Amino acid sequence: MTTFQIILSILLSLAVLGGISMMSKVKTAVAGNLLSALAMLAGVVATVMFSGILSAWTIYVAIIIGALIGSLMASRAQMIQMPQLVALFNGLGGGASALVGVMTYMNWGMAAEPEYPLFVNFTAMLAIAVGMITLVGSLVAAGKLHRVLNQKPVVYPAHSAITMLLLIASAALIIAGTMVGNNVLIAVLAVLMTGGFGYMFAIRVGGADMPITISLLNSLSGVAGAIAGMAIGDLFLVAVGGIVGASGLLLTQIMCRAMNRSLMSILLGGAKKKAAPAVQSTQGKTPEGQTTQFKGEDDFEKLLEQLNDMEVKQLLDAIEALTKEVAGLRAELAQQKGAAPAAVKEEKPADTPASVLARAKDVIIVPGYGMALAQAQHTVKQLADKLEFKGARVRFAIHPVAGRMPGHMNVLLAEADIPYEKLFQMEEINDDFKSTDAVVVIGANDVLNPAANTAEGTPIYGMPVLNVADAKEVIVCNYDLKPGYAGVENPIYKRDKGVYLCLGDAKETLMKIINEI
Amino acid sequence: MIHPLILVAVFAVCTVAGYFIIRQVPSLLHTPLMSGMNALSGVTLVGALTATGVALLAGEGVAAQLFGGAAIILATINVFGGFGITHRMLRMFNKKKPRS
Repeated sequence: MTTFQIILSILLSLAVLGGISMMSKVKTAVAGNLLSALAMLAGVVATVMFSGILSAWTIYVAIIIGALIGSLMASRAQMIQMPQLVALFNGLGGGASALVGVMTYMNWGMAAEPEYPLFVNFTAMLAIAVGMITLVGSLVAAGKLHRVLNQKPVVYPAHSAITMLLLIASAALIIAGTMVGNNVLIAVLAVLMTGGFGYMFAIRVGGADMPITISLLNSLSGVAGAIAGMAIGDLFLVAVGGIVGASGLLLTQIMCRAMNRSLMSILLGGAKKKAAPAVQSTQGKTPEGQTTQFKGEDDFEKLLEQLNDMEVKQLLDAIEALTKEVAGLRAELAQQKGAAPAAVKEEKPADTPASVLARAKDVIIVPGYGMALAQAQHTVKQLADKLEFKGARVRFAIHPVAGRMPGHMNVLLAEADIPYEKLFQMEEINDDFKSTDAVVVIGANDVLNPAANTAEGTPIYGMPVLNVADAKEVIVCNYDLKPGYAGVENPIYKRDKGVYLCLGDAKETLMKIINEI
Repeated sequence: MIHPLILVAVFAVCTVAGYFIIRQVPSLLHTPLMSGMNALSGVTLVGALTATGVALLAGEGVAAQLFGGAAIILATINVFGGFGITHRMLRMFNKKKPRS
């Protein structure tokens, strides 16, 4: 590497850093992204020119294939698929680093015998390890997000023991590979063991822990690149890989803080196990159906008592009333049975979600992953427009871990043309919930569950949540009332005043509300 | 070849520099940031190119070309896909700027 190359590498790395810092403001972000991309392009061109591989035709073929596939995927993908796509791309980068590691380890990409064979072998093995963990981990994460794999945490028998064994085997193989270079068996075993570790660690992650896992994998892919760069001795690669690694780690840290959980507990799934008893304790309370039944029996007994003191005419009247009541109850029951799986409107007749919203002068909308699933962001925008047209102030409260990747909600709402000035982070808006007229919850559960403050031992215990529980009127547009990923029931739903449940597909229920306002 | 210690030092410096620059990014932009970083992690393309090119010119066998070709394809998908998606996302944030 000549001095010129070193200076060029430094300049290009600075350009990448500049591009990233421009991404801290919406105005300059597009330009920042382009700057990073250009710096990368220049780095690639410089590499091809300086390493004397201009005449190696195979690389151009591969580049064109990759560029076509990548561009197609990026332009075709819907915004809803963003998390799995980011995870998938991320995995591919890790896979590429692992392959570079394999090639370097097998001494395939070396013009001459390496000067520091131990260092080259060690970094090559490390690149294989980190690259494979990233590849397999990201593929599992993408599969979970794309719903082709079970989204709940999957725990195998002796999961921790197997994971530990794979980790130890991987470490042993890295050491073996450092000592003995150019050994096919070690390379193959290393690929399998580290890949297995990546699988075991990602398969037990589910739900709200996904954003953290994705940003951690993102960080790992950068680290893998940097290590591959060390193996082949490329400054630019090391520098950019380091930057990416740091960014992913920082994002991971931010998310962990937002959930008040340590990274280790998420990776090892510690808190998940404790969730079971907490769920049971909430289940211990009498279900709603039973309480109404008891009430009915009490009433009947009272009626019988009254009957004893009555004249015949009154008795007949009472019987008539009773039959009417029974008929009404029957009809209600039939209605409940028939409509139960579909959207059940449980709001009180006096106030409907629409009438509450029509009155409201200050509305906060709380979106969650359900909004992404129902693709309801455009309908949400319609609702916001309608409310604003009627003179209300509409704001959006974004929990840091709402959705399946950091900033997920912001992207979806931006897609629906909702100005980002109306999006507020939790700390900014949390005190306003008690003074606002109405809150509309769209497909969010865990991020507003007040049980996070009280239900000790559950995965969400201690997680700062949006203070939706403080609001006077809460309209919940969720698919169902089942507990979210954390498995903790949300007491807001059981509140007897100021809660309107509109269950079913958020797009449809919102449309209905919009039409009624 | 550059001395290993220099490489490790560069890695450390860039990690710290990246950490401080990225800290300024608001959570509003975390998804594009992550996706941009993701695209940048495809920088391993540089490594894939070097290794494959050198292997071809040094007359290594088909296996090297297969591995190298796969590495280049994967890394290029990551780069193009990543930057493409980031660009699309950022444009969404920006498009209503003139309107509001």
